[in-house]
Amino acid sequence: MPDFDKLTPQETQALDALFDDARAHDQPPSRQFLDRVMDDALAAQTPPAQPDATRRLRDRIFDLFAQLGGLPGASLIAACALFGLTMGYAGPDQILGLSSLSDLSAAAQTDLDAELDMFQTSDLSFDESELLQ
Amino acid sequence: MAFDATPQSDDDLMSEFARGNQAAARSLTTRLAPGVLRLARRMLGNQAEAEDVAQEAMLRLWKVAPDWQPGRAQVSTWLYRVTSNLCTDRLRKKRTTNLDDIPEPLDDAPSVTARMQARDRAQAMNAAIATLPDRQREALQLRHFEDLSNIEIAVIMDTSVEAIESLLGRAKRSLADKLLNQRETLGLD
Repeated sequence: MPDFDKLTPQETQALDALFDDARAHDQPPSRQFLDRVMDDALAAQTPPAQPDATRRLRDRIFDLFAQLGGLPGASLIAACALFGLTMGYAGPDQILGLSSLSDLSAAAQTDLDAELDMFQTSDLSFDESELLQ
Repeated sequence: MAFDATPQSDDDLMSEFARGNQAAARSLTTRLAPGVLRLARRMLGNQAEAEDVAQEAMLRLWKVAPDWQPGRAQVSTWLYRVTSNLCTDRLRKKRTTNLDDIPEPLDDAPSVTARMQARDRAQAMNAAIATLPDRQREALQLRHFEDLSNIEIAVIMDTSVEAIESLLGRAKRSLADKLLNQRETLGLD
């Protein structure tokens, strides 16, 4: 139950007439106000400045550099690349002091035999027939 | 609230605005800013402050445009609510900082009864509305000047439809008591 008296139809009609008058004489917004609102709108629409191509490339390089582990990582990769390039250009014999890849293989085999000869018997002269006598 | 003949909906204009369409910015401004300013002026009773608040409300609209989801809320309802909140904040701050700044309620009788022309009746009405409590004034402005439904007003003022009906009933009863006992001098008969 509302605690105010409802308007009669006559009161409603009279108030409506006053509302009409008030609406008709409402002050419109000034040109300056609308211009300020429009200025804000256009400023909000302005997209942020796009970086140029050079700047984008530089940023990508820096990103890649960081992903590789910075200066130590990049140095290691550069050293490996240089070694690989030199090996490819000059050949392994020049780099490792061997005449060919077969020498490298033979040398590796000799070293391996020596490692496996735990009792150093390779220099002993041994005739199996002597055991039979 | 529509002041332009653009057939596009507010939602469409928001999408266009977000894509950088300047015509959409102009349409939204002419369509929405006057109503926002009227509400702020009614609530604050001061033209300069009302323009500040209306500009701030519109600025928030521009900022939210890229993320606006069509159909989720009416642009005008959202904007009125922002305006209402900004005005309420200002009124609260003013009352907290300086109680002496609050204008005294206008003495309605002598000045109102002395006027007979339509413009004077409008001034009498505005003066009477200015004496209403904030919430009644806001509800009255949205209903009788912005032509919103009670449901929309309830959303804007974050209350129930019944509460809006009560606010409007009290407001109109108060206006009738202030103004209609001088029907003859106001030229209403």
